[in-house]
Amino acid sequence: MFGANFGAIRRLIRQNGLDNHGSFNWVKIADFELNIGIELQGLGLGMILVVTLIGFLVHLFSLGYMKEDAGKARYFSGLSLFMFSMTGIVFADNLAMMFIFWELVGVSSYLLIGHWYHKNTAAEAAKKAFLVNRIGDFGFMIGILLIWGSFGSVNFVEIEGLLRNGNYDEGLLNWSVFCIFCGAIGKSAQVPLHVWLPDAMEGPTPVSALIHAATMVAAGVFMLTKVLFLIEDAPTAASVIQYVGAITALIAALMATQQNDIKKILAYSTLSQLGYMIMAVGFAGLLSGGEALGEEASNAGFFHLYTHAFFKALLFLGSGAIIYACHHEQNIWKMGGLIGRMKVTSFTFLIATAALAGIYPLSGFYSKDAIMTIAANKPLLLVIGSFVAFLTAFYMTRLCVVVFFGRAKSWSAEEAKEVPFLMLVPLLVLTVGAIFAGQTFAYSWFVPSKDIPHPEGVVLPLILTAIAVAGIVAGFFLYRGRDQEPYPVQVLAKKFYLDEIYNILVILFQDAVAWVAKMIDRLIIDGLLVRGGARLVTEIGAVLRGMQSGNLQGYAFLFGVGVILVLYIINAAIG
Amino acid sequence: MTTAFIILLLPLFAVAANLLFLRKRANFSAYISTLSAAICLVLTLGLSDGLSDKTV
Repeated sequence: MFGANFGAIRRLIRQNGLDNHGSFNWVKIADFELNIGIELQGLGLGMILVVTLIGFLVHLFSLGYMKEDAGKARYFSGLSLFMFSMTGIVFADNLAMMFIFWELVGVSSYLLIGHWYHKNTAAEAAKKAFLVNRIGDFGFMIGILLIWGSFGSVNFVEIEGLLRNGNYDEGLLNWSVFCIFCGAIGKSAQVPLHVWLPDAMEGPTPVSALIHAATMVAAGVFMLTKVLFLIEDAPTAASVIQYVGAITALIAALMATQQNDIKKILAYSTLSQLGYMIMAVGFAGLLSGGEALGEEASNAGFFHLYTHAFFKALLFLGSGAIIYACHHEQNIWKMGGLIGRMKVTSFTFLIATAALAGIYPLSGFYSKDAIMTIAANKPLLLVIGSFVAFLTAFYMTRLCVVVFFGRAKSWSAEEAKEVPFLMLVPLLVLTVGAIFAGQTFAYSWFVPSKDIPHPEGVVLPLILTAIAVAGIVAGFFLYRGRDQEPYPVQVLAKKFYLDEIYNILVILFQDAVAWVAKMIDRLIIDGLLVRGGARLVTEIGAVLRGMQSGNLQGYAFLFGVGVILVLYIINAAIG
Repeated sequence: MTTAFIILLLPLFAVAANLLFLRKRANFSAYISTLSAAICLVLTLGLSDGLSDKTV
């Protein structure tokens, strides 16, 4: 019956004659027109499938995971609001509309991270995510205004057309792209605005899978692919994008190696993989043989976004199943031996881990290959990317060895049992995606296979496979049979002390601004403008008050002095 | 583009419906949201199929 209905819907859509663009006027002020428009082609098709597929699976998983939650209706409202906002970003045909939905995504993310708002940590994390994102969004807004100032339009197609005419200032374009990239830095949690994402794991785990792994954080990368034509003509900004991505990938991977919370390990892993994607898209502006890499680079970044959505959502939902089974325990050192108690979850989690590590023939292998092929244009970034690939395999193996193998390290792990079937269905569907998303038939309907860069020969894939295997072997032998972290590295466990540094900087900056505000208020506003007038009147009054003594002789004396003064002035004036 | 607009607006209707049932019938809210997500997915698959014939 479902199949018949689905077939009918498909026929209906085909018969109605699809178009890939449609819009209506929303605001018209003098020459400025703002449309609500929908544009759907190429990578947008892939993105909308990721959003609706992962979104539906997360809804399904949540039916089991949030079964006993008191705020279930509020939670599902938040999920639906997020779906609306995210589809709006994907469909947007202009920057202004994208920005509106961009902000709505921020709001729904805030609501979902703070779902358990009675927990102080969750409320703080929601606030942090909201505020940090606003910093990036402010840059995005400036970027949109610069684009509008330069081209007189915010519509993607119109801007591209005007850009091709060559009538623009390259310096201004670089600044515009950089400002727009600030939005991606915030939303895709790139250095230095990455600090909100690990804290956002305070939200329910299905939210982490949907928003903080597969879709919202990928919105930054998707947005960059939409403004690809700008990046191609802004080589300086493109270089910044490449290096910000590479640095994020490296720093996050290093931090992931020393985390003990299962969700935080996955959060840093997400940061690292987003760094990969951003780095690849940045190569769009790199000149290679006289031409910018353009679409080739952006397709590589998006391809990794596409495959990553499947295996990372699977990892997060898998971690949710583990946390659910272990009575909400999140510390990996209190787990262990779960492979015997949660066979299906363990199997799906291990498949996703192998895909993330880039093991042939899983999806991650192909997308990582595509990114490294692009990165090969800059040897330094290729080296960083390869090292990150090693670290990825290493920290994921560490996680799996500690969680699934060895003996149970707490009663919660001992009592763990497989989750209900309703929660297993999304895991199994995503496992299929994690295995096959990298195959041509799974992506060629939105981007032709020839448009995705593939390495020439077998040298690069072999090297990358060897790197991944080395990471797995190192992780396995270093953590096999361990009951606690055997090699503590404080600087990595404390995340390079970035949170502490930010706290100090925020306090210093806040104190400095407060001091300047206080001085302006006390000296200029209070001292001069408000109290200055009153004090002047008081002082003059005090002087004049001396004359009103009530002494008759004194008044006669002053009268005499006055008369003499007037006579003297008249005399002086006459002659 | 009607289908795309439906995909866009359906979750918003789910939010509105959820707000009506909030606290009263939590299970019903959950099913409405999940159903809207399922319909969006089905429409997307159809949309992707239809558009991919034209544009890719």
